[in-house]
Amino acid sequence: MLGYFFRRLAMLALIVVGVAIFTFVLSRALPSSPIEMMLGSKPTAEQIAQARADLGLDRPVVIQLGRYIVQVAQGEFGTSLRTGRPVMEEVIQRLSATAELVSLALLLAVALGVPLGILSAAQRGRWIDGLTRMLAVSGVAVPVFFLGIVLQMIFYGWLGWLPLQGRIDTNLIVDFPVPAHTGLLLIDSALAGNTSALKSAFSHLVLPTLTLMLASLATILRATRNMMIEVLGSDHIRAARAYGASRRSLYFKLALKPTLVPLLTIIGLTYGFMLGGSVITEVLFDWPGIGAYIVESVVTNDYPAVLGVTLVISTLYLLINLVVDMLYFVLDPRIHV
Amino acid sequence: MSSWVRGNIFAAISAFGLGSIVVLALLAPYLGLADPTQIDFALKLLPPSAEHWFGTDGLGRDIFSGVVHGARVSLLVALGVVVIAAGIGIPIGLVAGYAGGWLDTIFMRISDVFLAFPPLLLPITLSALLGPGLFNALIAVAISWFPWYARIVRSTVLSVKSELYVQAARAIGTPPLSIAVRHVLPNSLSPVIVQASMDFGFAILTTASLSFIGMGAVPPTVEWGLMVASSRSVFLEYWWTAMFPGMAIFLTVFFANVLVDSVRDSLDPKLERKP
Repeated sequence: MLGYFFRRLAMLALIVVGVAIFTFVLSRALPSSPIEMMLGSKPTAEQIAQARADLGLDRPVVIQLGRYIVQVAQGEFGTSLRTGRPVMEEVIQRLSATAELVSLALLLAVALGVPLGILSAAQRGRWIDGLTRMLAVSGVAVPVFFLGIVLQMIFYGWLGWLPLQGRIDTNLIVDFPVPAHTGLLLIDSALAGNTSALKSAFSHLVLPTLTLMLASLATILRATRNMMIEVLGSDHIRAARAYGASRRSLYFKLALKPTLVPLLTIIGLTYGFMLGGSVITEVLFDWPGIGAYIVESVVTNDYPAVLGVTLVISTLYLLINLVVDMLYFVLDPRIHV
Repeated sequence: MSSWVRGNIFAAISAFGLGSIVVLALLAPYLGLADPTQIDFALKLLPPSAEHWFGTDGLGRDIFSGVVHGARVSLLVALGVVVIAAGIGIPIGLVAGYAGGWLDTIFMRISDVFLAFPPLLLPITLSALLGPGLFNALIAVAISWFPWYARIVRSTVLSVKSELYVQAARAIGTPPLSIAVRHVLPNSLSPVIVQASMDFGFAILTTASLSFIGMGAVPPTVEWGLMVASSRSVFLEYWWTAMFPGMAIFLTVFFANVLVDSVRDSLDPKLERKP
């Protein structure tokens, strides 16, 4: 298994190199060159030559590509044209906000989706099944941004229960700063024993999490239902039923176990959707994560930042997929390399 | 039996719903609606009324007219996305699957790179580089999706390739190109058609999302995602500015998905239809 893991890791590295080549090609195919962006509208010929030499643009393309890949391997994604800071630094700074949002949404989607899917399968054809199926079909048809806006209308505009946007009350953070240990505000404020910060962080998380979660919840719910229905018709379940197994062990142990591995695949896919969906959610809720960062970079034509974030997110996505694949071995003893 | 009937009622409602949206979209210029791009500050932010069924937006534009005209744009763009993605993917998948060898290897490695991006990220990156505009967004999404189509075609081609009629064609000396195009391709298309119809709703969502974050349609194009985006500063007081275009996207995608699901289920002999 360890051998397989390393082979997969090597594959992953190769794909990341492929992605790096891809982003390199994209950066060369840009409509506007970074030189113009750095030097303003009327640079002199010497300035242009100097900047080209600084960026290594006067070298052959193959050499440039080689240098780019070496830089990427070292975690150097270039400098943001907008802030002049290294892209990697900005990405890391913002990654924790996205991680907090996406992991919470994924946890919730699994925690709700799997039991609801089981319930739906167990009550197949009844009204509760119809209701959950409706939820499943609607959940993937709602645009993320519209769902967020409707939630904002209801819970901020109408009921006034939750904040409109942002990650925490800014006044509060000025008065009582929360020391960053994990970067996750929920955990950090709990560690600091700062209950008002914890409350604020939590109330700011509710709407973005719900917005990001619904499509994944729907997907997981639907997949669980369909797989459970298949398993519930199989012989070992019928036998267990005949032996008088309790409903609880029937549904949650005997039937759930064989669906776990395919379910894991779905959850891995869902995670990818969430990384994409978080861009929209973060823009809508003014959430300071990498999704919002990508859009800010696009709007300001900050291409090194766009390509850098693209590379980081896809690497993360590949890593998650690898972890999911490795979990198969843990969950299913029948799988061997 | 009862669930089968219920399933078909849903399908019928969805077919009717989607059909109405398509008809409205086709007839939009001939319905005598207000010009959806006509700005009139005297009429701004009026609530829904007999005059303006869905109210007016922050620039005094009629939202009902915008929603109807927006249907044209959204349906056409979504169609464009799946047609172009399939149009690029099918020949590549056919060549990779039928020829095999190094062509196949190169293709598979390239598609590995494309599939390394989480959905929506690659369209965002590409349309960022292509610049705003609905057509660029369409191209960006189609380029991001074509490897999926190529992969589907490739895997079907691999199995069709070993069918008896293909072997027979080869045995009587039919040229490879002719076998690939006349015998293998037509028998490899149905999974692609299923995939394309399932992707249709997703294409609407994706292009609307791009427009929402400012990487798709630009004014004066009337597009649903852009309509919702432009309501962002006012929707808390004037709910109709966001609600109607948003509902239009939701319902269109909902109807399309339900319809595709039920058609696919009824075509699939493996699914048992008893409750």
